Amino acid sequence: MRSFLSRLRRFIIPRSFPTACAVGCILSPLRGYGAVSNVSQHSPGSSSSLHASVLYTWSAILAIVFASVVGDVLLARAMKQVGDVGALRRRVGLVAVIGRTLSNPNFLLGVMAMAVAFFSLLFALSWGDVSLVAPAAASLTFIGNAVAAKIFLHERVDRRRWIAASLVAAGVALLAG
Amino acid sequence: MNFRKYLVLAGVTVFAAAGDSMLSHGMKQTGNISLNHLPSVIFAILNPWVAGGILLLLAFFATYMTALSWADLTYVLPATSLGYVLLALVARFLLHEHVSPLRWLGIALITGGVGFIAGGPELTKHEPHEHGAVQAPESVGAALSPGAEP
Repeated sequence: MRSFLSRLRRFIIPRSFPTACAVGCILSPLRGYGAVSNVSQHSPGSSSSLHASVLYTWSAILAIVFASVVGDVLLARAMKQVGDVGALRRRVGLVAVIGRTLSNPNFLLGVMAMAVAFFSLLFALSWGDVSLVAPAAASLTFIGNAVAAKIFLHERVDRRRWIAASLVAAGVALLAG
Repeated sequence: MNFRKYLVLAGVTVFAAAGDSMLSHGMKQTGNISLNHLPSVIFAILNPWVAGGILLLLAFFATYMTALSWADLTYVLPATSLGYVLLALVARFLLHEHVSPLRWLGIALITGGVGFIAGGPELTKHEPHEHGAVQAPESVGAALSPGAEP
């Protein structure tokens, strides 16, 4: 019987993975999870095509990271445009808040980026081992998000936040590896 | 940061961890499915673990969006990474599994990282003339009003 921790590794993927899953569930009912549970039972490609599979895997990992970062930045920007949900809900009501969120163009683009991240993950898992894909994609997404938030969202990423992002990225890599 | 906001961050953490676990568990019971065979999709969604997992992931998405509406992305992401720690602790203390020293180090690093940002401000206060267009006026007003913070 597989231990809980070894099963756990399978979904220690980028922090934005739940977002991608939530989106993926809506866009393509469960196709992904079926593929994930199926793929990870096989060992990765044969040694003759080792170089190609390494290249494919890392390309897919970079695609996951890029799409997740783009998605997170767009979703964060969309919600800043919508405004404080709690205060807004008390003033205009829940339905109006949901309507504002769903009609925000940045929100829709962010959801699309998350869908791309979800499918990149499926490709990555079909080419590479989950013990490489999961920690690599998760850690790089944390670092990428810190950089992107500073550049595109003008967040004040001070030393405290750099240290926090690096520590969490390292910790997630250890926990998932 | 008031109690309600900490509750939302805790919700993001717990919903993500629980939702992914339930969906993963449920999909292993139903096996592989594809869109070419629609009855298998419906069968999978009727599985209580899968349905529960999807509901929890939707709850995660709603709380995550709520958190992003009043906190920076670089605050929310590390703050909610405690979910990984939560899953490892469940494995250790509820399922009595062995957790290797390297994983304990990972848990310590994540906890330390969360501690680092927890002491700081959750939202970058933008100067109105600088990036005023990025922020909606009501969110600035809510952040600066004396009643918003206890």
